[in-house]
Amino acid sequence: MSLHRRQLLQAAGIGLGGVSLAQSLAPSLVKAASPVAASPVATSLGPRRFVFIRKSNGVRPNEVALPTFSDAQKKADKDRLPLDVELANHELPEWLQQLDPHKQQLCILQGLSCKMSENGHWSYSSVLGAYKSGRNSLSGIKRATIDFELAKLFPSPFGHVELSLTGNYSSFRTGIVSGYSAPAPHQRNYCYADPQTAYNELFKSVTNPEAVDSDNQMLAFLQGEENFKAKVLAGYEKQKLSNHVQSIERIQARNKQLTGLAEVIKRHLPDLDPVHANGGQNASTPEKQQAMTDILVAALATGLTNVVTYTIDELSTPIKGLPGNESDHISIHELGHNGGYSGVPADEIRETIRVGHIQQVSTIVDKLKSIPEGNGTMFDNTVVMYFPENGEGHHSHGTEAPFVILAGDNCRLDMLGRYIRLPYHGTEGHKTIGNWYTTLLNAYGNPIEHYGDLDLEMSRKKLDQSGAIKQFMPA
Amino acid sequence: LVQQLFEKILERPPTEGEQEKHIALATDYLRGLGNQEGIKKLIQTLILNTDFVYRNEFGQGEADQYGRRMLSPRDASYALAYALTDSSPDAELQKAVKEGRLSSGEDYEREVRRMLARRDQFYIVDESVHRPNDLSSFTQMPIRELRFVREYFGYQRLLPIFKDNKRFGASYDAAKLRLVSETDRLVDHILEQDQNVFHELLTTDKFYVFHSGDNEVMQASADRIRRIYEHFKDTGWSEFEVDDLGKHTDFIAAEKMRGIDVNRLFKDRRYNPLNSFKTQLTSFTLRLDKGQAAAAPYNSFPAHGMANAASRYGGRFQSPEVARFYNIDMSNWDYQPIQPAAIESRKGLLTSPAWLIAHAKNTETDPIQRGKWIREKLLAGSIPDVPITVDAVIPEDPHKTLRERMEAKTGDQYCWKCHQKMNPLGLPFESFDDFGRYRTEESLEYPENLVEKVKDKGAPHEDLRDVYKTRPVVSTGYLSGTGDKTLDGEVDNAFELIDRIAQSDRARQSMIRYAFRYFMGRNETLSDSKTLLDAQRAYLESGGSFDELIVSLLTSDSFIYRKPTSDTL
Repeated sequence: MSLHRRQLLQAAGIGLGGVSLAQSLAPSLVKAASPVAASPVATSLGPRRFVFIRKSNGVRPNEVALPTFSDAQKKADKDRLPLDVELANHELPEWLQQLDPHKQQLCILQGLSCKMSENGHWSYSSVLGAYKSGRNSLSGIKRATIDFELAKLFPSPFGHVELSLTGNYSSFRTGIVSGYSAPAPHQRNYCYADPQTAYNELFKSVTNPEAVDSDNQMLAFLQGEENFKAKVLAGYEKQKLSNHVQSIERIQARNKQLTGLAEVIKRHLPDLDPVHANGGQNASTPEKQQAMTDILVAALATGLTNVVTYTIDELSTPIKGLPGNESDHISIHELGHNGGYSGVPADEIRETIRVGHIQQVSTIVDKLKSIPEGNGTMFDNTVVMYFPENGEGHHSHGTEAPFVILAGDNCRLDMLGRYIRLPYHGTEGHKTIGNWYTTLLNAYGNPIEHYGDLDLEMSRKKLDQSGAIKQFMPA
Repeated sequence: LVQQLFEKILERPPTEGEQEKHIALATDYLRGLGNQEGIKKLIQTLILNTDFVYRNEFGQGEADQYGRRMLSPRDASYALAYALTDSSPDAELQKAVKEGRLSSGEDYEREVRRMLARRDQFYIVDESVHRPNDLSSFTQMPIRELRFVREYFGYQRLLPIFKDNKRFGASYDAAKLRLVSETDRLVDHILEQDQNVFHELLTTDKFYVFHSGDNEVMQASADRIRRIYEHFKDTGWSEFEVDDLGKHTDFIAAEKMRGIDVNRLFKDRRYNPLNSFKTQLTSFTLRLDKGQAAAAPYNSFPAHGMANAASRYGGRFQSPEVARFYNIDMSNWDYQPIQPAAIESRKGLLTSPAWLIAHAKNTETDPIQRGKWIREKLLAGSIPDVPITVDAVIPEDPHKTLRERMEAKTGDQYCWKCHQKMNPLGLPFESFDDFGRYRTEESLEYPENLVEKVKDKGAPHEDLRDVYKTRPVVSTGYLSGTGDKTLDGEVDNAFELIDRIAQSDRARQSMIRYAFRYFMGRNETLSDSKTLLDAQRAYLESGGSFDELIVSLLTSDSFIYRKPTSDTL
């Protein structure tokens, strides 16, 4: 059988998947290509970490409303009027109650809109980039997503790590696959789709030094070959090859750094259950989530990265082994259309899924709180965000995108311990995800005037909508 | 193994030196990693070789008297294949290489003509437009022809510009995809005609609007709606009960009326398709009761299954809102089943809504970008970047048109130095708003100018735009830089501007120069002047054939020969 060049590429990319260096290099090549320039503010802050957890099927605004609201607060919340309520005086909604111990470090942020991102069923990279991505088209990727912008401020050997638990409704994706972040315009990020691949790739310098040695041998070989070729070229042609050579050199440098970090990596190396071997198709969804959490925390704790973006689920993620529906094979998309399983109604299953998510969020916070850093813990310097990839529901329009935010004591934003509802979309003082991301960037050292596309209804009404959310900014 | 992998991955055998080096490397890999992992590593090494991504074209053989070397037959086969298609050389090109039939201008010409005539390959034009079930975005011509026109005009750049549905008066997002695909279709049509191509692109008044490109299908779809309308017209259908449908079951089944399953009628007493029936009859009546030429075959209500017309993929044909870009009143739409068909107040791609939106902003037009495009792409001019000291923001004023606000900003001497090259070319297009709709009045869209707040949801044919106070559009401008005194001068509007530009030699030369850059993959140098002259001659002598222009370019010395530049010697 003759094998076509394109099929070969696919075979190398998908078939060899997790172990294919061509694939595993792809994101790094991209990342390595963007120059690192931390700002003076960011440098003075020391290490800061950001975790973005994307969930599918929306977060319906009433799901995060506090059950102990007074009547007046309940009405204001329902009417989408601005609210600012101390969490200390209230109970959290049931599915968020695992965050109770962290209440003072929690903010439930309501009222942000995301109409300039894709919405509907899927948003792909657009929710982190505040642009219309034209579904998942490469040409639609308009700018580096917010996670990559933050990663630039706080450089690390990997720069940025993306994890995802997604699939095709029946099986999970495995290996290194296309992701939901973007390192630059028209560039897609690639992510680790199963815990074992993430483990193998991130901690390779400790778990498989021989593989790193042969990587290095290959890189050195390529460096020699390409440098030789570049010699006979000039101008733009030379630049193309030089970029390639530079990427190879950067990966070599990173490998060296990683070998240097071997001791720290050993200390934080998670235990991975054998069920995750070879892509772990037999692992249940909760087992996969738990393993991803361990890897996520280890990636931060070892200093391999300061920014993790994690797609905890997407409409096509298979849900298997969910408490209450252990034997069902659940489709999140079906839940969005109100389809129940085994007599359990869709809303109840949706809540169980969210409880599972929050269990992971809570574990991340607990684990980071247990790792000392400076005079406190690693969590002090971390911001964790849990949010819908597509706004307020299964088929959303993006008028609301509730964020659940947890941040440690050194957080530079004045918003913790509170339930905050910002003015509704299209009204005076309304804020978009663009304003929210601008707030993060401004507070952590990037003085950008406004990140993301503007909202068109705000524009039509000639309402001010650019810049950071001032009330959250450090004094 | 090394040889096999080279041939599979890099599509060529290794040189002797490469063979030796890679065998040594492979031996190390196999020793260190074992067989399977070692081979994987070797595959990775080859994929990361820049030869996997880039082609080297240094030419081969003895240099001629000018220091030039002809492309090797293998390199030529790739250069030709990628000049016209997205694929590696096809079987015939490969055969020509093997048989030594790719080593002269005549050989090149034979292959180029053969490839230009091929229509048995399908190419997706734009992944972000193409919807497998609904919206077709493919061509059977060698894709690079269409892609050149696309990149040159840049109309597809409207895709990342997102817009407010309320200001469009309907759902914009689906309509914009159809708009791009129908503009592609028009370009495909003009290239297929292959006569006076540049002139046609600039001046055609015929467009595709809510049309798949298949006249037969669209005519049949429109006819079907007319049959349904005529059948029920005088039956008092608006008063029908379910039982009345029983008298028409054969007709309903034969016409496959949407949302009515005759097999369930009367068998399932709870089954009541009256709503579907009346909704479509109401809508069909609206499409035909004013003496319209034909009914636009859009869907009166959303439903799964068969639609009123099929896309070229056989799926549902949707997004009739595309008509709004062309000022078509959907409640009185004279649908043209045979297209492209003439549209009022349009002249060529520069008045196509797609180009106009691509050269506009999210919420307003952009005469400066429109003018800049014309200056650079049609008049071979150049405009420097905005000086960093300039605050390039047009001030808001609820009482003035954009033109008035812009003139106040760019009118002073410092700004005017550059803006005089752009504004007078872009301002005539103020006759089109930022959705590409023709207009004689400009809406002053400020909350204080709101005259009527219109509801936010409605039927497909309803215009949901809010109504604002307006001011008359001034569309005068000034054409300069054609190099022809009879053409330069004041113009009343965009149509006059386009007419004059289309007559200008400079515009044609400019387009040919851009074609040169596209198909050669580089800028022209002084030594390419013969190629450019030949290309122009080929185009003119053939009555404006784009194919002949391509043949001329791809058989020119500029394409066939390679010469090292001085700094690599």
